[in-house]
Order: sequence, then structure tokens, then C-alpha cells
Amino acid sequence: MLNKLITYQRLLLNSTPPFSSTLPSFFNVILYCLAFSMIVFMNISLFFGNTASSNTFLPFTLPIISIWMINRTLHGDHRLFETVPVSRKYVVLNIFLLSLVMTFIMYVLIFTFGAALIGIMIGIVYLTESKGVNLLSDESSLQQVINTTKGDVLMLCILLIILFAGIAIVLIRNKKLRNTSFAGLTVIGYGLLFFLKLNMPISPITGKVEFLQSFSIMPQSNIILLSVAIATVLISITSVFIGYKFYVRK
Amino acid sequence: MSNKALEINNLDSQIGNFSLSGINFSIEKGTIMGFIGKNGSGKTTLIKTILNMIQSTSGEILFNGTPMFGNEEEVKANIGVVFDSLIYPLNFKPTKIKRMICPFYKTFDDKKFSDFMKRFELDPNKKLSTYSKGMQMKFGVVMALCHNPELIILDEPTAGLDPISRADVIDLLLDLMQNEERSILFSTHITSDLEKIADYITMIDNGKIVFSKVKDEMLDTYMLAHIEKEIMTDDIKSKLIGLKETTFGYQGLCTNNFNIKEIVGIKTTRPTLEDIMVYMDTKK
Repeated sequence: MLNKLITYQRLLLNSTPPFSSTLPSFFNVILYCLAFSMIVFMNISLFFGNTASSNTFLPFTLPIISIWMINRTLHGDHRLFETVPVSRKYVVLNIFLLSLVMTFIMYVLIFTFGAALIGIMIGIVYLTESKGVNLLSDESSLQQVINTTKGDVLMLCILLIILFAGIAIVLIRNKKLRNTSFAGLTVIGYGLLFFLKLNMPISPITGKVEFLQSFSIMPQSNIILLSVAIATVLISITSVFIGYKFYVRK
Repeated sequence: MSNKALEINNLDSQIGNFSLSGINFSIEKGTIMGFIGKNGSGKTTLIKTILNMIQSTSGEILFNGTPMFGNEEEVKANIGVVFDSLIYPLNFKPTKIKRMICPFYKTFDDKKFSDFMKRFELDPNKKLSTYSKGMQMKFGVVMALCHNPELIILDEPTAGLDPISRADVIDLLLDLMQNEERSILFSTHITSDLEKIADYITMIDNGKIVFSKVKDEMLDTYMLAHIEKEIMTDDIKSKLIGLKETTFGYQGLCTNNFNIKEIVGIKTTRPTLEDIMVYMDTKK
């Protein structure tokens, strides 16, 4: 059972069609540039401040990349994963699982390479600077974790909502409806997060609204977090159900 | 259990501006159905609709009397498919692909895999990217056959193969037909392949089935008429299905009902599938 699940995940991961050797049309290039600019703009406008970290923009960017890749797989010409004898319910559940697996793999890869890169850079600086490097004390690191825990949980919820709602949309067969739904999800999601940011207090450390820190010191943060957590569970379950209906529809 | 390996009733499907409409045909168990039609006529679209990779808007597709919808596990376990291009990741070795695919088939035969790989002279430890197009196609055929499917669907499997490899694939298919329960839907442009092995021929054009008949019966239905220029009349022209002017006169396809043989200056020969395909198209 578990072996079959792992094999099917591998099959899905390897069903991503290769990039076409032909150049995309001018319209598509414009479209890709526009989408990329929008993601960058949304990340900057929502999360970037003095203390913007990978914890803020990764929950936004990685699921989008996962959804885009799964969209290519699912609507590609040859779908290897659909040729093997498994039920459509099994396919749908595995596609949702794949989005989590892909995001996790990318997260691990980024952090591994990021940590390695930072390690190398610190090593070089340490070796070249005669005074050495002042590393943060354990206490201050712990403080940083405690300060943004609520924000991190919020980010995790946002990541799950983007993934589950996004995959449900990917399963829509009609391209126009699919793209419209993506646009709708983006506008609603961005609108809600921007509204949340507008109501956030200024961080006492930087004197600016810093998404994670400001959310953590927000008086209503517990209620918001609870609501978002409940919404995440509901949206995830509903997305799987709706996605199943879209995919299985005769 | 049905005696039909595949049965398609009133199937309609739409993809972009192209549509399949009113598709009706069936494949009897133990037979090979040749599927012909020019580029863009709807062969691949129909195959993908049969496999539920393109959604049908109406109609019914039954595999051995069972619909695909709701029975994917059972139905797909008994189907082997070869697409017009390789669907497997090119950076993988065949042995790795086999390990990835075989857990899904209870009837996957490792020995058969090795035998077929040897027969087609394919190295299982070389990446697919190092294979030629023909070798990749042969590997696709190997993977489609290793789980002993009852219905084999082939979409241009011999395209890109040299004559020797093509003959090898055809021989392999004929060997497989020793099992009387097995059936094949063989889509191809190379009609000479079908003349060797097909029992039935179905022709599709512009998303509609032109005919679906027993091959020999169909070849007997038509005649290829070679007509001298001097004797050509409007009456003869009206009875021909497609007409071509040659240096010696005219050439056209006609049915056996037309008693053309008795007219002086007209010679008739048995048409090939290619002749029928070409003249059916010129008719338009």
C-alpha cells in the first residue's frame, strides 16, 4: 500500500512534461513576465520590510511553483500517471499529496542550499576577517522564534490554503474557467492579506509593519489565527471534494 | 462477458475547435482493427477520448462490456497503449521505468520484458535519451505488452521505424494474436502494415467515421479503374469515387456495383488500402 503510494508519487513527479524546445509566443512571454512581476510585487508589498525573511515569501512562492508544475503535468499531452490502472479517486488524492510533497522537497532543497551557501560565506568571511564573526547568541535566536511563531503558523495556513485551493482549480478541465478561477483566487487572497496588513500594528523593533512580527503582536492575532486555522481545514477538505468532482466528472 | 473487446456508441467529443461526432464502431475479441485517416482527421483525439484523456460530451465506451468510468483499475489493467511519441521520462533507464510501472500491474511479466528487450535489441541499462526515435518507439511497444493486456491500442507505433523494425513489430503483434481473447486497435498511416495484419478497417475523416468494415470485404467492395481519355464520359465520372488524371488517361475508385469492367478501354485492378484512403479524400 505504502510502496504503491510512493511509486505513484514518483510516477507523478516524473510525469511533468519537458519544456518545449520551441520558443513560446510573444503573448505567452508577456503573460509569463506579467505573472512573475505580479508574484514579486505581491511578495514585496505584503512581506518585505526590514526583517523580511525566507519564512515570509516562501509560503507564497513555493506553492505557486508547485501548482504551476502540477498544472503542466495534468494538462500535458501525455499523462503517464493516467495510463496505469488506478482509480480516479486515487489519482486526485495523490495529486493533492503531490502538491505537499513538491513544496516540501523545494523547501528542503532551498534551505539545504541556502544553509550551505550561508555556511560557505560565513566560512570565507571568518577566514578572511582577522577579528572573526560575531554570531547571535542562543538567547536572541530563541527570542526570534518565539516572536514570530504565530506569524509562522499563519504562513503555514496560507501555504496550505494556496496549495489546496490551487490544486482544486488545476483540476478544472476548461482552460478559461481554470484561468479565471486562478485570477479570482489571487485577487481574493491578496486582498485579504493586504487588508490584514493594513490593520497590523507597527513593529517596535523596526518601526515598520513587518508581516510576521506585527501579526504576532497584534491583539486579535489569536482569534485571527484560530479563524484562519479553521478556514484552512474547511478549505482543504472542500478543495479535495471539489477537485475530485472536477476530475472524476464523466 | 461481451464478445466485443471495445464498443463505442454515439460518441461525441470536443477539443478546442475540433470535434468528434457520432462515432460508432466496435472491435471483436481476437481481431485487429486498423484505424486509418489523414493527419488531423481525429485518430489520436479518438484514442485519447477512448482512454478518457479527453472528455467525451456524450456517448458510451465499453471495454469488454464494462465502462471505463468507475472501473478504471479493472479496465486499464487490461489495456496496453502505445502513443505516437514516448511518454516515459527520457532521463530514465528502461529498468528503472519498469520498476516504476510494474507495481501497478498484477500480471506484469518480468521475463517477457527481458525477452522483448532482447528481441528488439534494446539495452535496458542505457538511458532512453540515448535511444534513437525508433528504439524509443520499440520500448513503448515493449512496455505496453508486458502486462499481457487483452486490448492493445497503438497510435502510430511503426512511425519512425525502419522496414526491418516495422516487420519485427508486426511479427510480434501477430505472435500476440495467438491468444484468441486479445484484440488490437492499430492506428497508422502506413496502410501496407494493415494489409498484412488487420481484420477490420475503420476510416475517420474530420472527426467522423467514414466506414468500419471487414478488410477483405472492403477491398472487394471497391475497384481501381484505369480509364482511357477517349472513352471518359460524364456518366462514368459521376460513378467514380475520386478521380485523378494521369498521362495515360484517368484513374478512379468505384464500387463493384458499377459494371465498369465490360466497357472497352477500362481496366480494373484490386485497390490497396492506400488507394481507398487517397480516393476517398479526393472525392471531397
